Amino acid sequence: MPDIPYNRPGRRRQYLSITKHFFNAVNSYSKWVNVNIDRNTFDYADYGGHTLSPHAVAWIDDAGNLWGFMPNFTVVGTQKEQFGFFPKTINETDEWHGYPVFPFITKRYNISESLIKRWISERYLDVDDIPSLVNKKKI
Amino acid sequence: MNEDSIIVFLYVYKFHLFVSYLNGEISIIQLPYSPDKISIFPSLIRTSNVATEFQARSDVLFACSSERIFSHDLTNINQLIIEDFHLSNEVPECSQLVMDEKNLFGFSSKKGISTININNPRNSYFVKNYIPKIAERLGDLPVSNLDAKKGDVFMSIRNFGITKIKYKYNHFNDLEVLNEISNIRLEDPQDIKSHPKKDLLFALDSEEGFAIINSVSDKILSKLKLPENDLGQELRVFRGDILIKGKFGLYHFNLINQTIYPLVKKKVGTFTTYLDLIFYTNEGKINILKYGSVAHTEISYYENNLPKFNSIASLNF
Repeated sequence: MPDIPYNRPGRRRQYLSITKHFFNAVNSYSKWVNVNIDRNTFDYADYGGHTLSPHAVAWIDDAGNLWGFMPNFTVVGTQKEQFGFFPKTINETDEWHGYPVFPFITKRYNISESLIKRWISERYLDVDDIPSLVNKKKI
Repeated sequence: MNEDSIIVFLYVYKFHLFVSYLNGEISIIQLPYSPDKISIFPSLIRTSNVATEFQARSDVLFACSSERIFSHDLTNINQLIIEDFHLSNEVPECSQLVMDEKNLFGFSSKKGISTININNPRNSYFVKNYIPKIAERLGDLPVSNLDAKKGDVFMSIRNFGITKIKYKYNHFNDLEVLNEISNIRLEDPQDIKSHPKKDLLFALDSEEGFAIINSVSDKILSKLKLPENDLGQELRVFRGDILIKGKFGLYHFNLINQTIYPLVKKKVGTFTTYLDLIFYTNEGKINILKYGSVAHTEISYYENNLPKFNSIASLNF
């Protein structure tokens, strides 16, 4: 099955759902529960909120990667991951892609403190959720 | 105390409370023998990544972060001198730590289980890395915690279960053979702890609740749901019983009558235990519950860094 482009009119960041992260792919890569969850998680990351307001800043970490999650932290990955990670593209015009991750499972997937504090200030999380997030627990 | 960053881990060793913050700082609070004398040391240790676990032995503190495992000499901690020991660079980024009589085990998804010989903690040395076979099938293992007991290392793996790994020693008395001997299936284990005196293993699962397992036969003996079906996240052994952190409170599991009681009916960030004390965070503050036959005494550390006597709560186990 080929990769599936996600056309996003009016948005600077375009998206590509990658075959190896499909739920039915046979490999050890992390996989989205389904394509809609893949796209929705990217939308929330790109819009920086679940209301998809065009005025908000994307959920971007200090390294330029995007992070997304569903309302109520609904599971997004087949391993019960609750977050999607969208690595910064090499060129600004490149299509983005992403996959489900457990935050803090490796150094690459550490969420920067500034983004976590933003989620707290916007009431997606509270400070008592953070130890569980950092220690790879379900939140 | 650090007012700007977020507390992610607590640990107590010899009347010193180590507080790890999201920004990589570690503060140390000297605990009093009486609650009206509390010293808060400035941040003496700083890592570039958040420290997620501490273990200490013979006045050596081991801590791990996504950068590496590091160790510090606590001999002169009261003079605010903490020497940084150098551990081999072979010890990689690490997210969990556990120790048994001779070994410190760390886990990273890149190097698997790292073993450090801590027979002499001041001269601890790296022994080996072991990549669990299950990683070949699952890729980066989402290990939610480790435990070690009587020659076995237990790993709780999200969306998989618990893997038991047996180890042996070579004639140099170094740990040599690691072999996966069994898997205990659970839906989504969040934490694991062995009982120090009984052949029991306790696991918290986000879907199946609190599980009690025979650590020798690997048989699941019973499963209990948390009050109001709370989501279990973290376990500690406390006075022979088990404390359970759920998403919305702290609970006490009484091993004798096999019942889970609410202990703190508010959201808890993280917690630890020491002697008859329970330290927990709530909304950025550290609170202490003191176990007693009549009452638990609660103390809060306030934002001005000065402890104030907050309340006396009658929380009987």
